[in-house]
Amino acid sequence: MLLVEARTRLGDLDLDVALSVPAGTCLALAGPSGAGKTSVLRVVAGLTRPAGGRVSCDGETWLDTARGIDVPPEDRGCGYVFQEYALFGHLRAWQNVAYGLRDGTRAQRRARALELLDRFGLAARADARPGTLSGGERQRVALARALARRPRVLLLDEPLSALDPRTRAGAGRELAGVLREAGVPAVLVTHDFTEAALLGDRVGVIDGGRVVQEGTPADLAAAPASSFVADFTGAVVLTGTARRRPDGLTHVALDGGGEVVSLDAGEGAVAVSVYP
Amino acid sequence: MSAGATLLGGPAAPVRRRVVRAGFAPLLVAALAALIAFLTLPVVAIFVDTSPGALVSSLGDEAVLSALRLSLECTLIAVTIIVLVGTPAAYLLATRRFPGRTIVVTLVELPLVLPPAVAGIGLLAALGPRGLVGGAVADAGIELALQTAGVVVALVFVAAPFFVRQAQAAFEAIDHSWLDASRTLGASEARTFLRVAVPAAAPGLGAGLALAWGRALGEFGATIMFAGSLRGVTQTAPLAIYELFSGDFDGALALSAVLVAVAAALLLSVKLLSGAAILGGAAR
Repeated sequence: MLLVEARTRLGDLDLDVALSVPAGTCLALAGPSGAGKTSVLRVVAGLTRPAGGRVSCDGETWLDTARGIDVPPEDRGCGYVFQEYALFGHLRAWQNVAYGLRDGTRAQRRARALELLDRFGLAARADARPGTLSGGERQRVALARALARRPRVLLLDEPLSALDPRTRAGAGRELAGVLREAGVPAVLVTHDFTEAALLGDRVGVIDGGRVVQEGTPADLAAAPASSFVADFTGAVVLTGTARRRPDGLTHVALDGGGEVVSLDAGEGAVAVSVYP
Repeated sequence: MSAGATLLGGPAAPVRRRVVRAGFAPLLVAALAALIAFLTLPVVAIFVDTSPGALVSSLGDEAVLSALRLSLECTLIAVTIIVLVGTPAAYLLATRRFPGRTIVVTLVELPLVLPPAVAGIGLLAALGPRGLVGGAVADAGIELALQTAGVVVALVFVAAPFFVRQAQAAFEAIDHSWLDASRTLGASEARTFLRVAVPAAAPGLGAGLALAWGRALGEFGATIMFAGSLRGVTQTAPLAIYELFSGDFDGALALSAVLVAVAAALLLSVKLLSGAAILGGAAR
């Protein structure tokens, strides 16, 4: 279980979040750019120190500003897949994967790295430099690198957005499998609700440094707490006047003309989210 | 009238613009050609005016050889010190924001704009026998004035900023997420510096090294003021050229030719080495 509480000011943004992610599940934080998504990951990894907050993983405290505890990033054991992947350009693919390995001889580390690359179907590209890899290959090398150290938490920053649409669907399915298999808490951030719904067991919609609603993807789509969430989930938000009819349905006369019917009860001025 | 002028000006403008556009590329080429001609002319003249015989006989001259040897030794020690101290200092300047950083950067760059003679006087006033900290230096058993060690001090002073500036720019150009990634992969800050930052910045560090080494090889003013021009002790190649110049112009030319060749060879090999690093670390 990963527990995160952070309050801090970052430039123009007031970050104030509290999250808990059970092992083996993925929380997808979705929101527009500048909402503070990446900052949450950085706080968990220890790359950004919030003014106040706590981070703990499986009962082990990584950060507690009140008690002056701040474990450095290298001792936290977070597998972090960065946006654009941040592969070391001066190292080969297998060396990138082996970078985090400390135990054993160079030959053993290389063997372990090759084994991981092979799992991602990249054995043939082990000696390639990141610059010569395709976007999809880079993403898989970055995943292999993050998994090599058997991380206690997985953090993924827009893992699919650097990929072209054709690669994205396949990479998304593969990533979902990896997350299930890893069995550790995972936090993924994305600006794309569809991606969040695909990969997250739960989705937190984040805006202006706050989680405005959290739930399963179905919850969010069925009952968006605000028009921002509804908008974000891809619904069209319309306003109108609701009136209950004898048939038990609610008829809403839309302000722009026309009428929609809903099973939800409502009366008076309402906003309706419609999924086209 | 004014409306008529506007109408006339309208169609004329594109024509003029086309002329400017057509003339711009040749202008760039002409500027570069003039620059190259001016910059290489003296170097070419040194080799044209030096007979191969004079070159060979100057290499047999003990004074010339000892000056060259001293130059290589002193510059090698100086750039070693510069790289060992300058690399971590440049990394700090490139990766941290702290109050007074701009002032620190300016202080590092100050020797770049100091006239070498002023640098020499300053070194004497600071480290000379009666200098600001000269007593402490002497108490530590270190003699600098009129000693080979003094040459190294002068070279470090004038050449260090060339390296540090370049190194700082090279570290600043590294994608910061590489450093973050290294930390999350279990590497301490020190390990990140050695395994990621330095290899990734290697081409820039190499360029800075070449610049600093070139500057040190040619150093004249600060050395002659601070360390003097004692043959075999502090007389580096540029100082020997100056001494030969008063009596033996051909000898001075020959030694100059040798120095140009040595400097060019050094620059080229450093560039080739860091070029290999560029190829090795290619393509972010």
